[in-house]
Amino acid sequence: MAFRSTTSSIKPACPISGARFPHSVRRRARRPTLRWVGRTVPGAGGLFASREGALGPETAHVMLPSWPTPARSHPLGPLRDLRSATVLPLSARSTTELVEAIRSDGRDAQPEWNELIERYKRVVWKSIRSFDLRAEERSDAFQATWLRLLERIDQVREPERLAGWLATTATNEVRALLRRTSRVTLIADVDDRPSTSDVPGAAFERTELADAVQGGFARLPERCQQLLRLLTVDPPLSYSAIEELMDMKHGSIGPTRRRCLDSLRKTPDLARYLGIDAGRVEA
Amino acid sequence: MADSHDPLREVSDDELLAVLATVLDDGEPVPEDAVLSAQTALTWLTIDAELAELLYDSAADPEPVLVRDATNARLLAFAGEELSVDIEVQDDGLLGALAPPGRFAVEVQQPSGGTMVESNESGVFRAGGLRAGPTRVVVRRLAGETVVVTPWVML
Repeated sequence: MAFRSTTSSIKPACPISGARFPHSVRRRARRPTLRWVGRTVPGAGGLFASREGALGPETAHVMLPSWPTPARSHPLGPLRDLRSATVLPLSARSTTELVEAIRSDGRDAQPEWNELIERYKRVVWKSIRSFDLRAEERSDAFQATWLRLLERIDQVREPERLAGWLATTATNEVRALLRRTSRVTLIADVDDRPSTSDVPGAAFERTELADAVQGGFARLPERCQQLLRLLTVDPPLSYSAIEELMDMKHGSIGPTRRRCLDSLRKTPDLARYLGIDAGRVEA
Repeated sequence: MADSHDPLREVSDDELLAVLATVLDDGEPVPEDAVLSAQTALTWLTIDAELAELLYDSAADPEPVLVRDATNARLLAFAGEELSVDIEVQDDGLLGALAPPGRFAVEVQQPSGGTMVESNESGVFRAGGLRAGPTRVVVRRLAGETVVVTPWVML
């Protein structure tokens, strides 16, 4: 008790409300340890070199800064190549090129930004989806992830590894949100999702196996569900990114993946499909 | 069950994961409004602005009982090159203090819009009408030049 009152008496107080910050705040200050950020990327030289490399010298001229500002409303505006009268789809551009365009054109790079979101929205959503959140919280975490990317866009060093960075960031945003509300983090139950057949335009035919897999997945432990979700994101995450996301030891994904898939096979749903008898399932 | 053919291996790991990818992905399309909110986030891109560093967030403090005050208000501290920004989150807004103190134009930004206020000579400002969600503070000189931008924090 004596210690506690001594400690609080030396904490600086908020000048407005008198609320106290811990006295160690300023000394504890350090740069955020984002492994992936830190250095501003080289300027125009590297930028145009990489664009020429990817698109060929004939099309590289459209990227020059002196090129007239294209119409913003046209989704392919900045890519219209007037010399060869062809339109380069945004999807043909590398993530590095998209990031460079956003850096150099800022708010005028809406088409590139939209393409970046299109490319990586699933990996972000799936990272968020593995937590039990209300719908509006999911949207907040989703949006916060992209705001964070814009905040750090000057520091992105390896745009081609954006998937892992976004997944980590999304998870961090969810954790910040859960800390704020002091809620326990739970992995969502898959049963609250609309079943596949309810999704309009579902691009694949339901098979018996898919039904069994979906049913079995819902029975798996949280950690297995989370790992399997992360293993099936598109674009794929590296094992090291997944290890970091799940606080797993290096090299443990392979064995865990095998164990989780075997658990999946032994769920009643899959066991029935595979013709494994009940006695073996119990064991 | 010493079958030469193991039913457990009838479907390979890769095949199972592929089916899982279809099943999981198909069940959770990213909602359109979430995508739209991410697209409009580009509005908040501030290139060349000095990004403050988050020094303290009571919501992330491992010893909340010792460091929070009686009202349990969330406290945040940011440091920029030129200015530090301390914030106390209140019911529908926030109370802030700039140091060194002075009159600045302060904009509290949320993806849905910004609230413009002005700090007094003591560097104190108050902004209301906020909602839960990503939030940041942009401090400008009264002449308009941006002094500091805080990182986005989840309120």
